[in-house]
Amino acid sequence: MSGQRLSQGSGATLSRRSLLGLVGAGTLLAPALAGCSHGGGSGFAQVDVKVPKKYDKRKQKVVLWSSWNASAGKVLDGLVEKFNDSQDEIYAQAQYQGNYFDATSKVTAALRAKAVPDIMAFGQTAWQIFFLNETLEDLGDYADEKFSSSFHPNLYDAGVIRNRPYWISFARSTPIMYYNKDLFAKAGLPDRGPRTWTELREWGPALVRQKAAGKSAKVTELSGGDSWEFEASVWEFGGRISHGLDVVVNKGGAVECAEFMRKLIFQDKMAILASEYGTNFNNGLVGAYMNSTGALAGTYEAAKFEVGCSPLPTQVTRGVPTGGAGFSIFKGVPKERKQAAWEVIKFLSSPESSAAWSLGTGYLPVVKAAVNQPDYRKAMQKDPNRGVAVAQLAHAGQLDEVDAYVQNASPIIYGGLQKIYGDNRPSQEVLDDVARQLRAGEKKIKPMYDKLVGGAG
Amino acid sequence: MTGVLTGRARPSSRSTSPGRTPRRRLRRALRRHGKEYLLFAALVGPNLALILVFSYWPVIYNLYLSFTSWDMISPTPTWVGLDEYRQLFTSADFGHVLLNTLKFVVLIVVGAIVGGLATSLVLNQRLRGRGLVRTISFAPHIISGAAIAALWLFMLDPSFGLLRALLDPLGISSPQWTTSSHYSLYALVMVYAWKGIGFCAIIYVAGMQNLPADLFEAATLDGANGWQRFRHVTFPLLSPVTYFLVVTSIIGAFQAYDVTAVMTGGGPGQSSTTLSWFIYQQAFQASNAGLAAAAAMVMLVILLTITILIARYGERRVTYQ
Repeated sequence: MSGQRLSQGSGATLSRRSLLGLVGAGTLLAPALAGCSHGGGSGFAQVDVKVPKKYDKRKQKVVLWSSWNASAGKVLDGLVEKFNDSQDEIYAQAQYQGNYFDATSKVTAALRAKAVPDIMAFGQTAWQIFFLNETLEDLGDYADEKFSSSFHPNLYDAGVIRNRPYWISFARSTPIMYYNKDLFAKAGLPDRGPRTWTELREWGPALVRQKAAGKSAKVTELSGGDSWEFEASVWEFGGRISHGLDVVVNKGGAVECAEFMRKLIFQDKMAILASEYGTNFNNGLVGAYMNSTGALAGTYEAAKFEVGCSPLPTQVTRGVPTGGAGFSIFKGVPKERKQAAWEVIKFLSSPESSAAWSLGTGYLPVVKAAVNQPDYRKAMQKDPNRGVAVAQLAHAGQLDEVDAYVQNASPIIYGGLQKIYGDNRPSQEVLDDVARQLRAGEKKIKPMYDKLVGGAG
Repeated sequence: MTGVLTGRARPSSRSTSPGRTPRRRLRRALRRHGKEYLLFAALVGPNLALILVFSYWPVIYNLYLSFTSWDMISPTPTWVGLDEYRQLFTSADFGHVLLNTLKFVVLIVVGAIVGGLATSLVLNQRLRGRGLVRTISFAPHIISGAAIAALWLFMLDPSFGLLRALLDPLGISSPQWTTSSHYSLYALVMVYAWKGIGFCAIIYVAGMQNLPADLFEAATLDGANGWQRFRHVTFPLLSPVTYFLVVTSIIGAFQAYDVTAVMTGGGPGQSSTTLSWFIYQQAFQASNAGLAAAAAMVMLVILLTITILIARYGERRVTYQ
């Protein structure tokens, strides 16, 4: 009936019932329509890009979404500019999209809108959920043997599943120990980072006797906004977040590690939970703290004292998880754009680019030959801090599977740390709850994980 | 118009087959009122379309999503019926979030309105530099929440914040405002209430300037002191303003997000997580669109209930001049 009325072209006769019917039908159809060309097809449009006049004749445009602004953003822009000047077919542009969480939210929305960037710089724990949903391009057909063997295997393999790469390492890092050389000297401590966590605790009394901004200095500050540094120290205490998908964050070394840190804060009064991680260190209020090697350039800029770097302290064993970001391409992007995007990735993965990126930011040189670049060699000789993370790479490993694959793992873990470090809640009780939440997340992804990842690394 | 709607046109004697008469009626009505219809459609149509697309469609789609499980990346959501609602209402965390939201909303609304009213009484006086002070007090309302949060984060920092500089000489150590669950929610309340005070004050000042002077003169002649004039004249006459501020402040407090994002991220644990932050967290951190949509529907029902209750019972207490 309503169809007949509409076909007569009379808007005035559209009844309330038929209007509601249309809305209802739209409601039911929209999700189905939304799914039509998602993931598999080759219909993804490109996100907005403004091409400068100088490059407007180029055949292909490549948009790279990144999480680097400030000094790191400038280095990336410089590299992209070099790429643009190195050939005349492709114009590339890096677009900052906020931190890893924000950028992931934005690219999720972009996927729904079917207009995506050609290259997405995913954080270490962000790309897996896109892989499990089969939205990422298998880059095995682009990356030949020469390309893949040019990387440090410890870093490259983090993006490889069943021998196929889906995420190409770029801004990779490990946590290292930063220490305030001036404060250490005033406290009569050696000019090096602590070798063990126990040693750092033993140095505590000498450090807290020092005044910083009118207050007793603290030994260290801990993060309640990321789980990565905690995971590193858990490994050193002999624990793990998970073995495969088996959650063990509430057992052994993980609990001992959390308890050690809790005592350092509440019993020894030597450590603090930072409201803005790194600010206390940069302001000279704490002696040493863990942070990404990628924070090196920023720390040099912010700190008013001489900064020292050392490998992470060990405790029971030695080991450090890698972090940072790498590049992926979406499956649904048209072939020519994918090929152009790959050219940009190739350029950014050259020894020259890798060295320049590492020198400008402090991130690891992901490509082995980068350390042989003359500029890099010179800088390493001049500043031994730059070599710390590279030396530590021998002990680096991939993130524990649950942290990598369960979408919300990091917020769940650091939510627990906030209760332990902020509220002095017993570690066992809190980590039991964290384990319960992680297991619930693990259950959700397990079917997809078993299908696509299985036991293969 | 009425003629068309009530169908005053009589059936013609020639109308033998069913359906012909209404069509003729319509034709006649269109001929008579066609221009009016066109004008009506032209004026209302675009707005109606915008409201449907941007207001009702998201709500309807959100309702649909609340019956699904979806990570927003997989092509289609999976229908799970009431599972997400069941998960919400059986989780202790969600009860905690609702309780936080209740405390948060009540404290912010009371704080902003009482503070705003008190400020407006000062701003309504004939004092020098009144314009400047009004502008300054309104500023927090128009400055971005993220900027305000960054500023307060600095002021409240127990190591090098402004508050520490004030408390240290008194021998009191500054609380861990944003990293302890005892204080984090109240730190947010403090900032949001502070942000709202200026807005409430300016609206109250505008209201006060429209109050009839003769009532105050009469009250003064009757011997009412300042407090009595406020209690029995000013405050009752400002009740439409208070009513407006209560409704808008409640809705604003329910939707609060920006300052939370920068200052506490809902933590430590879930100690400063309110409903709006919980929805964001579930949707964009946990990629749990179904649960987030279910929580959003709960928020919609709560807000509708509050609005209806206020409209029904609160408005009775409003005194219009």
